[in-house]
Amino acid sequence: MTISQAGQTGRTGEVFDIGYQNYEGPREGRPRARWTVYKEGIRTALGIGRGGWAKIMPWAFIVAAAIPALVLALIAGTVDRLTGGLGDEVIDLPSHGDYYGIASIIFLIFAAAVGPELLCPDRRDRVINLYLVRPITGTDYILARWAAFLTIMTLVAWLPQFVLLAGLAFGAENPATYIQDNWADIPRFLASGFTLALYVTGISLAVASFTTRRAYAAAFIIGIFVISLPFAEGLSSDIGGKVGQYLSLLNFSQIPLLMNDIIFNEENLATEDTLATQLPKLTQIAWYAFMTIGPFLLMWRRYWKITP
Amino acid sequence: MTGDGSNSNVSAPPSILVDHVSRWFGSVVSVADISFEVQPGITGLLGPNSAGKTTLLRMICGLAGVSEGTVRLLDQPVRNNPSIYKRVGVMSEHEAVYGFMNGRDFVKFEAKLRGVPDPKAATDEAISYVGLEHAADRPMGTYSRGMRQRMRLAATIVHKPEVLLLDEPLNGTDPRQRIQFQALLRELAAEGKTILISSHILEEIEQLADTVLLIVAGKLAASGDYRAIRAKLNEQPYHIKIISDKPRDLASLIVGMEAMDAVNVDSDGGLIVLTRDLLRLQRELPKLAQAGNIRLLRVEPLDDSLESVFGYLVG
Amino acid sequence: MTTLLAARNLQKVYGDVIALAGINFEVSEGVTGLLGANGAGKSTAIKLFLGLIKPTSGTAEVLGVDAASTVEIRARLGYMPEHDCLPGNVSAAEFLTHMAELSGLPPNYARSRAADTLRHVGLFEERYRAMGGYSTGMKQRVKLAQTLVHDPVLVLLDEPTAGLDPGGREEMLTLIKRTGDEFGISLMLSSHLMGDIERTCETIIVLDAGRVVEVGPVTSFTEETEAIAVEVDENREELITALKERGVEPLIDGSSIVIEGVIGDQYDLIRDALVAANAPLRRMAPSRHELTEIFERNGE
Repeated sequence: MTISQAGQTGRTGEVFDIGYQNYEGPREGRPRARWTVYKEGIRTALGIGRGGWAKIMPWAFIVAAAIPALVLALIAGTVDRLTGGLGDEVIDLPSHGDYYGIASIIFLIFAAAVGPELLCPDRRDRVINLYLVRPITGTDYILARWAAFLTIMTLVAWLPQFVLLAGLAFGAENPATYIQDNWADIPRFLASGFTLALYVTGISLAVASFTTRRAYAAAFIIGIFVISLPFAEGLSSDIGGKVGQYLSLLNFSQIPLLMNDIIFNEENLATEDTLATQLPKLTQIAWYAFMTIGPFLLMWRRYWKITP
Repeated sequence: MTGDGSNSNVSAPPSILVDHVSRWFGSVVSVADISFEVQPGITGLLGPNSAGKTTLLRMICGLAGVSEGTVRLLDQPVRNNPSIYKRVGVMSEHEAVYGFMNGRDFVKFEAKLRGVPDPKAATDEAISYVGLEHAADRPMGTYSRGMRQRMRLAATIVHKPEVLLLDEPLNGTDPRQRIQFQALLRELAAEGKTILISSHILEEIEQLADTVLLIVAGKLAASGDYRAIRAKLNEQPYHIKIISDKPRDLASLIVGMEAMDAVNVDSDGGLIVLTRDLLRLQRELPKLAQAGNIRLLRVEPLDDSLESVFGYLVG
Repeated sequence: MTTLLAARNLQKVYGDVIALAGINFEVSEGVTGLLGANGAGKSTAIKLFLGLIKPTSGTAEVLGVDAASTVEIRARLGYMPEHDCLPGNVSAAEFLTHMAELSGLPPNYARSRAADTLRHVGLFEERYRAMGGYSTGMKQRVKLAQTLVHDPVLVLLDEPTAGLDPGGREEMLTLIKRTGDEFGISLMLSSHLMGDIERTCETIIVLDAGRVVEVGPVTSFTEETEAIAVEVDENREELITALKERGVEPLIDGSSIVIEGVIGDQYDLIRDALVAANAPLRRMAPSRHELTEIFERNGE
C-alpha cells in the first residue's frame, strides 16, 4: 500500500495494491474437494448454471415422472367421490405400491439420459485431467459423482410419490384421517424409491464409465433395459417352471420392481406375469444386491485406476 | 514480387503460380483474390490461424479446388492432372505413419506410389540423403520425433520432385533435430528445388527463408524479403537502441537531424530513436558521434525482425 | 533458494521403452525451462511430479515430499496441460470457482479468488460467458488461470504455445513472463521450442531420450562475448579496409564483421572507420552465444 500526499493543502490520497495477492486464507483439503465434486455433479445433472437447453431434459423428465402420480391421484380422488368414499371396495385403486411399476420406464430413461452427463463430458473434453492433478483421488471423484446422481435419482423417485400422497389425501374425505390410516405407505415408498434409485444409478454410471460419448452410453443403457424385457419374459414364460423363474430374473428393467413388491408385500400391475416373483425372497434380494453392487464396483474400479 | 531477382531466369515460368485465387464456402470467404509467384529457393508461408493459409496450401497441392482464379505448378494445372504429382512432394502437418512399418518400406511405398522407375535405388538414395541409413530397417515407432520427420522428408523427396510443400515440418522437434533438418532443406534449395514452408515459428523462417508470403484474413498482406517489407511499413517508425558514453549530447545531435521522429532516454541511459528514415540514421550516426566526440558502444534495431513485421501487419 | 522439485535417480520404464533413465535435477524458485523433443521424457517427468504416474524406481519430490506418496501435495502445484481441457457449457467464473474449491478453498474465498485471477490474466469482462464460445487465446488464459487460482508454489506448463499462431504465442509468452515477474510465482515450462524458453526462462534443463543433457542458467549459454559484431548495409569492403588501416583485424561471420577484444578507445576506431568508409551502420553489438550452440556441441 502506498500513500501519496498532496502538498501544502493537506489533502491526501492513497493507492491500493490490487495486483496479484498470495492466498493466506483457509485451505480445507479433500473434504472440500469431495463436496464440490458432489455439488457440481448435482448442478450438471439438473442443468443449473448451464443455460436453458441443459435444463430442458432433466426437468422435462421430472415433470413426466410426476404426471402418472397426478393421474393416479386424480383417478383415486374421482372414484372415491363417485362412490361416496367406497373407492377401495369398488375397484382395485392404484396406489403407492403400483406407482413404480407404471412409471419405471421414465426413471430408466432419465437415468440413461442424464447419468452419462456426470461422467462422459469430463472425460471427453479431458477436464478430468484437471481434476486428477488436484489434491483428490479418482476414488474421491467417482464416489462424489455417484452420490450426486444417487441424490437426484432418489429425490426424483420420491417426488411423484409425495404428489400421489397429497393427491390421495386431499381426494379423501378427511385428509388427516387418510394419512393416519395409511402412514405405513410412507416409509415403504421411500424405501422402494431408494432401491430403484440405487439400482439405476449403478447401471447408468457403470456404463457411462466406459465410454466418452453420452449418446452411446444412453443408447447402451436403454438397450440393456429394453432388450432384456421381451427376451427374458418371452423365454421365461415359454420354458416355465423353476428355470423360467430364474430366466425371468434377466429382465433387467424389472429387478427394482421385484424389490418394490417385497417392500409393499403385494404384487403390482407390472409384475403380475413375472415368474421371478415366485422365487424365494432371499434369492430376489441377493440378485438385486448383485446387480446393484456389481456395476458400482465396475464403475469404481474404472476410476480408481484412471490416469490421464 | 518474390525472389531476389539475381538467380531467377526471367524467361522460365515460376514454380508455383497463384493468380487471382479466391475460395469461399457459402458466405465465408476463406481466400480473397490472392496472387503471387514462388521461385526456386525457400519461401515461407506465414499467417495467423484461420487466415486462409491451410486452404491456400490445399489449393496449391490440388487437394481443394478454387472458387475463382488459377493455380499452376511448374506451369501446369494442378487439378485433374495426375502427372504433376510426380514432380511435387507434400509433407502435411500431422504425422500419419504406421508405427510398425520400418522406414525403408515406408519410403519405398511412397516411391512406388509415385511411379518411380527404380524404387529400391531411389529409396536408398533418399534415405542416405537424410542420413538415416542406420535406422531405416527399424520400425518407425521406435524413432524419435526428429527421425520420423526426416524419414517423412525422405519419402517426400524420393521421387526427386522439383517442388516441395511442407506444412509445419519441424513440429515437435528439438533444436538439434531442427538444425539438421534445416541443413537438409538448404541443400535441397541449393540444388534448385522450390520449397514452400508453412510455419508458425517465425524465428526459423527468418533464418531459413529467402522470401516470405504473409497471409492475413484471406489476403496477401506482404511478400518478399522481410527487411524490405519492413522498410515499406511507413506508418511504423523504426525503433533503434543506442548506447553511448554521452547519451544526452548524442540525443540533442540526433534530434537536430531531419526525419527523426523522437528520441527517448530509457532507464539505463540508453537512447531509443524513432525514425522513418532508417538509412539516414544509419549513415549519419557515426558521423554525428565523431563530430561530438561521443563513443558509440551499442546500436541495435529493436523491431527489424520478422516477428516485428508480422506483428505490425497482423496488428 | 528453496528447492521446489527434485528428481532423484528418477526412472520410468514402459515395457521396453525407457521414458526416463534415472535422472537427477533440482528446480528452484524462478522460471525454469524443460527443453527437449517430443518423446524426450518431458511429459513423463511432469506426470511424475504431479503424482499421476508412479516411478519405476527413484523419487520425484515436491517440496521435499515424495509425489507418489500423497495427493495432498498437489495443492501446492498448478498444471496447465497442452491439450484442450475446458467444458463448453460452463462459464469461466463458475469453472474457476469450482477449481479453487477442488484445491480446498472455501466457497466465498474461491469465488473472489476466481474473479481476481481471471482479472489478472486479462479475462475479466467475459468471465460469465460459457467457455464454448471463447477464442483459443481466451481458453489459454482460462487454462493458465486455473493453475493460479489456489496460489500454488510452482506451476507446470506443458507446451503452452502448442498450436498457437505467432500472435497467440506472443501473448502467451508475455502472460507467462508476467506471471513469473509480477505475480512472483515459480514456473516450469516444458517446450520443444527454444524461443519459448529463451524468452521466459532463467534456468534451463535439457532432456534428450530420457536423459539430462544440460542444466544451467540460460544466461550462461547466451552470455555476451567480448567480441563486437558490426553489420552494415553497404560499403562493407571499404569498412574492412578502414578497420585494417586503423590497426584492427576484423573476422567475417556471415553478414557480420566481428572484432575481438574491444575495449575503450577501440570503440572509437570502429566509429571512425565507419565514417571513413561511409558505411550505413545497421547494428553494432556484442556477439552473443546462441542457445542453439548447446546442441551443436552435443552432436547427434
